[in-house]
Amino acid sequence: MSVPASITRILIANRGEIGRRIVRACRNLGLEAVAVYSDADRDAPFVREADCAVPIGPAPAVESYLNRKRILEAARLSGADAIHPGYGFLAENADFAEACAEAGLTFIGPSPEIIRRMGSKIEAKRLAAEAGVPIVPGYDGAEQSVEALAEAAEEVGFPLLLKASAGGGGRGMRVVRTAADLACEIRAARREAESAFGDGTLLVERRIENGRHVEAQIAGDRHGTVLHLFERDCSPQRNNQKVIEEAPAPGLAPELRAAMLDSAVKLAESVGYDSLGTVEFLVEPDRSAFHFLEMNTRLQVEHPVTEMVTGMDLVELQIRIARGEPLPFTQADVACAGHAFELRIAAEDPAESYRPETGRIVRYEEPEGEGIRVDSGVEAGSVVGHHYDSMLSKLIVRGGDREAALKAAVAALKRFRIDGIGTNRAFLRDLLELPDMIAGRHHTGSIAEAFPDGWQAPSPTPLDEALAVAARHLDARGQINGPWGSLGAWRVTAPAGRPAEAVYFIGERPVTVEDRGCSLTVAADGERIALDHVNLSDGVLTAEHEGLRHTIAVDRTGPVLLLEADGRQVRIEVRTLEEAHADTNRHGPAGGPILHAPMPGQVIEVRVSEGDEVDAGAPVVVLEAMKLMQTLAAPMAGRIDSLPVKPGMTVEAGAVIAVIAPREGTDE
Amino acid sequence: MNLSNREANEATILDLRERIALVSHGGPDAHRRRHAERGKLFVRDRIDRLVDPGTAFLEFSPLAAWGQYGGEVPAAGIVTGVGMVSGRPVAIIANDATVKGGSFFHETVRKHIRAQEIAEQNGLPCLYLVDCGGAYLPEQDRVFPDRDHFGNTFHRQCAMSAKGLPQISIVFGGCTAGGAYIPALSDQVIMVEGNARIHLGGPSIVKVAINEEVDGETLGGAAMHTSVSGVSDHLAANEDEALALARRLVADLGPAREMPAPEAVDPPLNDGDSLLDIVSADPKTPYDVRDIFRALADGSRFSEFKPDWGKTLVAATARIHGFEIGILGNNGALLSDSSLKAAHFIQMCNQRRIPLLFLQNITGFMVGTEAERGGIAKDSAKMVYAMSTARVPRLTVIVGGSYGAGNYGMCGRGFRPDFLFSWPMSRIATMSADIASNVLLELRRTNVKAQPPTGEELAEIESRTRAQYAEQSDPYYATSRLWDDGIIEPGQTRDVLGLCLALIAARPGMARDGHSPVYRM
Repeated sequence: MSVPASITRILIANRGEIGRRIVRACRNLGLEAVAVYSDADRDAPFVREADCAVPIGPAPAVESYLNRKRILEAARLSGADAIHPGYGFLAENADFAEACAEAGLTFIGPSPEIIRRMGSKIEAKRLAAEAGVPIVPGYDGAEQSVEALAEAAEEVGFPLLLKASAGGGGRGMRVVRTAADLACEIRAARREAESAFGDGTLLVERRIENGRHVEAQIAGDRHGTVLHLFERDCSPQRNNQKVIEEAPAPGLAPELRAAMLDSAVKLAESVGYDSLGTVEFLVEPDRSAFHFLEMNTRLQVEHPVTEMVTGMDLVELQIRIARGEPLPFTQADVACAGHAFELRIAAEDPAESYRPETGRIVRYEEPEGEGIRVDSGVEAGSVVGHHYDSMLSKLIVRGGDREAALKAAVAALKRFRIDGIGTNRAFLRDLLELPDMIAGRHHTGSIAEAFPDGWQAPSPTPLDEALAVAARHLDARGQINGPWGSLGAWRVTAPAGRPAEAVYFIGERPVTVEDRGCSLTVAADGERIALDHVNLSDGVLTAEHEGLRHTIAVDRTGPVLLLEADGRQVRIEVRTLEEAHADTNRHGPAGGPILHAPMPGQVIEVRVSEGDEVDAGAPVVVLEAMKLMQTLAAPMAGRIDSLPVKPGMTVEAGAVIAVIAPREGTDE
Repeated sequence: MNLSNREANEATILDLRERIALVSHGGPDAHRRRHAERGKLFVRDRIDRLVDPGTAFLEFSPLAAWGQYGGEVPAAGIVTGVGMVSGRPVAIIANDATVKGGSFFHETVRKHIRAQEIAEQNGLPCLYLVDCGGAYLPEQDRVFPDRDHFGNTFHRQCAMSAKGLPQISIVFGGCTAGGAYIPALSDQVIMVEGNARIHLGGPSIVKVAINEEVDGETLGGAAMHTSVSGVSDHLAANEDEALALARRLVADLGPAREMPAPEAVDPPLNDGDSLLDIVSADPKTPYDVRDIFRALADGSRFSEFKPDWGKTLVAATARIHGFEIGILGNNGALLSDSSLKAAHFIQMCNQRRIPLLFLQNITGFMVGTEAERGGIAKDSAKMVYAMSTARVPRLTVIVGGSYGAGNYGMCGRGFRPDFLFSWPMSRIATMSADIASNVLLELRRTNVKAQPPTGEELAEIESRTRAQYAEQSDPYYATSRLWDDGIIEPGQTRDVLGLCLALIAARPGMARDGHSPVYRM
């Protein structure tokens, strides 16, 4: 392993922001970067920026970014001699790392053996314990009977955590609060583990609630040296996913911090760790102790915060290590200066259980300034689909100290403009302003604590609604060429006090807009809001209201408008007359409780009986008319209340065939 | 002087606004209340919802029937105009049921027909917002029988449909008798549930005629017509839904004609407001018509034709809202040379396919020995020939006096300009009241068959003539009788012309060849 590998051309087995990040590192080192891309990423910036790019298959990751064969083939085709896996996808796949080696490619990461050992939670924990690293009290025995696990649970105490040994990312994890639930939860966790990972082996661990997630950045070379690059705090998490990370971790006692970093180095040394890696710890809520969680044998998403405070380029370092260079510094050379935050900007709706948002980014403006860095996988025009992670960009902000960095992060977030797709920016902003966050007292449960019913977007004020309607209205103006559009809602009667009055709908409420050119009066529920000097250009609405000028970013995606000012975002649906009445348009005959014969004929077959439950469209009778068999279907869902026809009966046009009683609650 | 011009003109405009405010309110409050209680929208609200939000609606003759019928028929009970629906220009003809139940008076028919004429000329689909009870029976002799009466509206509907101009009716209320044929002769019909009725004879006529007792809903209700008779194609639950549906029907009319997009438009340096200082309060005090050109033209730029010849007529090409136009304006009576200049200019615009704009402020063609010896009769005729036969669209705005043959030469209503608007300070008559009374006094004095007139008789002739001319040359008298397409404010003129020119430019087949040469006069 200590034989220096020659690397000239690196294939990046990843996509998005990390793809671009690795391309950048290659540039700095004078190396060539090869991108691989799925059909969904053909026009992505990382593909364009690479020196060479190879298509590897359809959009689903299993057919592209997880398709080892295609990736190795791409490496051969492009003449790459090394593979950087980024994070996620194949980054911690020992088999893939092995396959790379077999194909004569340098895998930029630790050896397959280390990946494999650290990939098993049980093995990792055992290694940690052996290296003298404190571990969360628990059970990782081979005896996996319900009885054995229950006995271990008694010892560990409640609440506790059941985890799939082979798992990760929160899957197969269950919290058990009382002994009574245990047996049932063990069985459930096992089933989940088996179906998700094909391995039902479980771990029992004490559940440390409201602790802090702190992780040490480790760098080991292929000459036996292991150093740490300080730590990161990644406590703010939602559904076990990191949202905001910072370096260094705030509020740690120097002794605890030193002990933790030391433990991390020891663990890495004990396995001969020879790449970048991260050792994750859980710090007790009172910050008196820390416990080993797991070790990640790859570059982390949040590596930039470490770069911002240490001044190092971790990806470059990772490549240097892979080509056999010794670490170019000693532990004493590594200093941590200032404070940095990373915010994960994701295309998701935090108010709807973080539901991913898809669509086209119509405008994309990153904040700029000293200490601000944005690692992004997208640009204006990018299409965000549902195939991959919803993270679009990372906003990284450095300040002289934590307070300054936090303020700068809030300010930078406000200036970050992404239109065309909903993002979590408003949610991130609220997180940054939580008192616990400001005080550095945040923990893994802070988000759930602050938003017990889930985060909610601020509810729109009447002025928000008026501005949204004004934006929708102004947008309509530009649709017609020449004076018919440019004069706005011109009326010969306007100077006489009868201006145009357009109508829109918010929910079922009609909202009217009196249009007098550059001043609009928006009225709903008897309340009138006057907006003067209104203007909408290039996605920015300006209007004066009661002496104040409002400047609002309007991200218009159909009837749903996202209004944003000062990082506060509201989502308002403003419908036009047609949109409000779209669902009442009767394309087909109106549904009703009575099925009539459309023409005279003979009933050939009756398919239902009185009392039957039918769905709308279900066949009720077959009628022979004009020598054609015609199936008459239920006009609506419900119970057959009356069925006055029998086979063989002749019916006149308009005769009642069946009467249907609506189902309970269907008329709501 | 300027101050007094402004003061006088502002008073004139204020008066116009008050009158428009009055008529755009619709019928009496009691009728409006009853209308609203039935879940019905007012006619202008219907139009606002029908047209694309944030776009213009060019209304015609809002002051039709002004001063007639004791002021009980505001806007002649009908609102007409051109608007954008689903991105295409359409003509809208909408009854106001709060005014005499939306029934048709003489002016209602005139206004309806004029809107159809504009639709046909500009190739626009017609949307009829029907809420009317047919002819107003006490006036039936002025509504029903003649060639340009009610029957002609149906003739036009059929003819336009045949020409490929879609005719769509949205029925909001009762359509009885003649009213029933508006939807019946439409390509597509939408009826609003509950309120809309279509019957050739209503329940009372049915009772009288065939002694059948039936209620209106059974006889001609929306549900019956949509599901039984097939008279209607779509049933809408309410007016909003009907209007939304109408917008969709228009959207489905096939590819929309693109409205032309003129290049960047500079506003005039003097805005419309400057006209209040320019236009003389006293019609006898002349002012330079070029000042009006400056307030109308893009960037206040125009390029004058023969500036040093025939100076009582100013002719220039310019752009209004980006559309090229040839403008003719009067700086005094038309003489031989100014008539020839006009004829020459009109032919030139005709050759170059530039629409014409006539700004009328004209006492007439010059009279007197010198003029007659100079052949004013044949020279003025050349102008009338050229104007009459020009194949380019013609627009007329009466900005001041429109007297005598001057009205003819400058493309008065009789010459069928594509659009004709008046300013509230305009006057229209064979001659001014002063001249008319003098002419009649002179005729009386020189009448050899009668006794010499007494002073009393002369005074009576003078006051009667003056009163008649004062009343009849008033622009409200004119607009009430549909002699124009509406009175507009000087400050609105540029925009109105821009809207008209855009419609004209969007006409199918505007680019025609086969033009005539330009004869030097």
